[in-house]
Order: sequence, then C-alpha cells, then structure tokens
Amino acid sequence: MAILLFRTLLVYVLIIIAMRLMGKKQLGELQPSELVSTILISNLASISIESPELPLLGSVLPVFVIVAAEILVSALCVRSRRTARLVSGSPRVLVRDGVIDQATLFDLRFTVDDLLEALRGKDVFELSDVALAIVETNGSISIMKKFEQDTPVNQALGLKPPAAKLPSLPLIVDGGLNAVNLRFYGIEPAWVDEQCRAAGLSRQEVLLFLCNDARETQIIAKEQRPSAPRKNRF
Amino acid sequence: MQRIRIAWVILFLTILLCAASHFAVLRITQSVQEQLSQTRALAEARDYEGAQRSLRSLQAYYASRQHLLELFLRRETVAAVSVNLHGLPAYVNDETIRDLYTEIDKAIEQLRAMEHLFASVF
Repeated sequence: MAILLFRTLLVYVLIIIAMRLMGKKQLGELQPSELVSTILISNLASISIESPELPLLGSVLPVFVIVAAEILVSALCVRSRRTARLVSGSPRVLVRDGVIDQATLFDLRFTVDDLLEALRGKDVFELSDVALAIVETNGSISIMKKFEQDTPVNQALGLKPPAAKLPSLPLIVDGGLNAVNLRFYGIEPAWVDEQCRAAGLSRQEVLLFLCNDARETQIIAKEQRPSAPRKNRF
Repeated sequence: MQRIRIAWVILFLTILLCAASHFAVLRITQSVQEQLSQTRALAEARDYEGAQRSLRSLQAYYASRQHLLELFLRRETVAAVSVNLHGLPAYVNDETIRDLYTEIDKAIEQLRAMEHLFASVF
C-alpha cells in the first residue's frame, strides 16, 4: 500500500513536470498532436499506479519520450509550414459571405446543426450576418461578422482613450507587497505605503491595493473577522 | 529554445537508458543460461556436489541482479525465474536427475521468453 502511495505521488510530480515542459499551449485548445500526447500521457500515468507489478520506468519513460517528441514536433512545425500542415492540418473556410461551403462542410463531416450551434456559441444567430467562418486546426470556429452587423470599436465611435492604458494590478494582497507588479509599473514601495497612510491604513491593514499605469488607485481595507456565532444555550 | 534543449536531453537519456537496459538484461539472462547449462553438464557427469555448488552460486548471482531486472521487466516474470532456480537443488540426485534436466530446460526457456518479451518489438 505504501508503495502505491509513493508511486502515485511520484507519478503525480512527474506528470506535472511533463505538462510544465510541454508549456501553456497544452492547457488550452489542443492541436491534434497535442491531444494525442495528452491522452497517451494520462493513460500511461494510470498504468503504473494501477499495476504495482509493472516497473515504474515502463510508464515514466514513455511519458517523457512523448513529451520530448511533442516539443520537437512543435518546434519543427514552427520552422516548417509543410510539417505544421502535415501534423495539424490547415484552417478551412466554412461560410463565406453568408453562404455555406457545402463541399467543405461535407469534407469536415460537419452537420448544418453543428455549424449553427458553433455560430450561436459565438453570439451569431443569423447565417446571413457571417462574412467569414473558419474552422481552425484545433477544431474551434472563428467568425468574422459582416460590417453592418459587427460591433463598432471605440475608434469608430470617436471615443477618447482613458488616462490609464493598462489595467489595474494588485500591488498589495492581504498585507503583502507584489514585487513583480511594482516592477512592472515602476512603483516604489514607499509610494504604496504613502498611499496607504493617506487612506488611514498601514500596509498590514490592506486587503487589496490596485493601481494602474496612470497611478489611479483603489484600496480595500481588511474587515474585522466576524467572531464565531454564539450557540444558543437553553 | 530551452525546452527544445531539454527535449533533446530527454531523448538522449532515454536512448542511453534503453541501450543500458538492453545490455544489462541480455547479459544477465545469457549468464544465467550459461550457468544452467554448466550445471546440467555437471549433473550429466554425475558430479552432484559440483552441480549443487554451481546452483548456489547461480542463485546468489540472480538474487544480486534481481532488482536491476525488476527496473525493466514485470516483477512476477523476474520472480518466477527466481522461484524456479530455488527449486532446482532438490532434484540433484540419481533418482530425480531426469526431473532436474526438465526443470533446467524449463528455466532456460523461461529466460528466453523473458529476453523475447523485453527485446522484441512485435
């Protein structure tokens, strides 16, 4: 039983290392090769946990071979477009100017219902609103609406940009300074403390201190923790 | 770029480990098979004392390599050969000499099957 526990923990750590090695790409929409490697890794990892009679190397080794192969194939895909097309395929146009490309639809084995469902998922309820719908290599559908139906952008509306161009980031969370965000906006801790003092708080009393690149701040103080509810005694 | 380097290192280490495991498993199984053949030859020459000595040294050798084999092969496959080897000394006498030959052949066949399981691709 102890061996099972040890093996499970070891496999858990090794799979985390493997997934970290494959990078963030592996955690979002998957390309075909990434999907294959993820399925294989999850199966291989379970083998050594389920079967203690099998050597651990028997599943750990293939996992790392798959990780290495996946990294090298994706690196090759970056360098060679032909390899990328071979491994991941290429995007296909499904709707052009409100008209379904039926040959592509048939080729991709998409039903009209699948297409309409995907369009509804993108808040498009009229086929005629679509200027271009493309099936990406990871299976998702990208949609460009027709000019008349598209949401206008700020520039088109002639809106003036706000003073802050970047979003507010937390500089203090639960009384602790976030050094990465301070560096990002080039802010000194002394300035943060000064702002806290101006709000009548010490750094330790701040739950959240938000600040953007225009130095606009929002400070949320910690509340007194409510005491445990008293039990009614009779 | 760092990940690509790591991938090459992983592949290199994997190939190295595969080669080392191949070499280790085949060397151990070949060595055990040779010692079993020697034991059989000693038993055929009616040198039972020598055959017993040979089996004892064979058991000690296999026990010392068992952990290494278990890194690469199913534990029960490795343990089955060990169980077989430990049963052999009981057959080293005039009355059961034919059984000894059969058991030695069985152990050799088991080792060949182990080699085949480990080294064959299909």
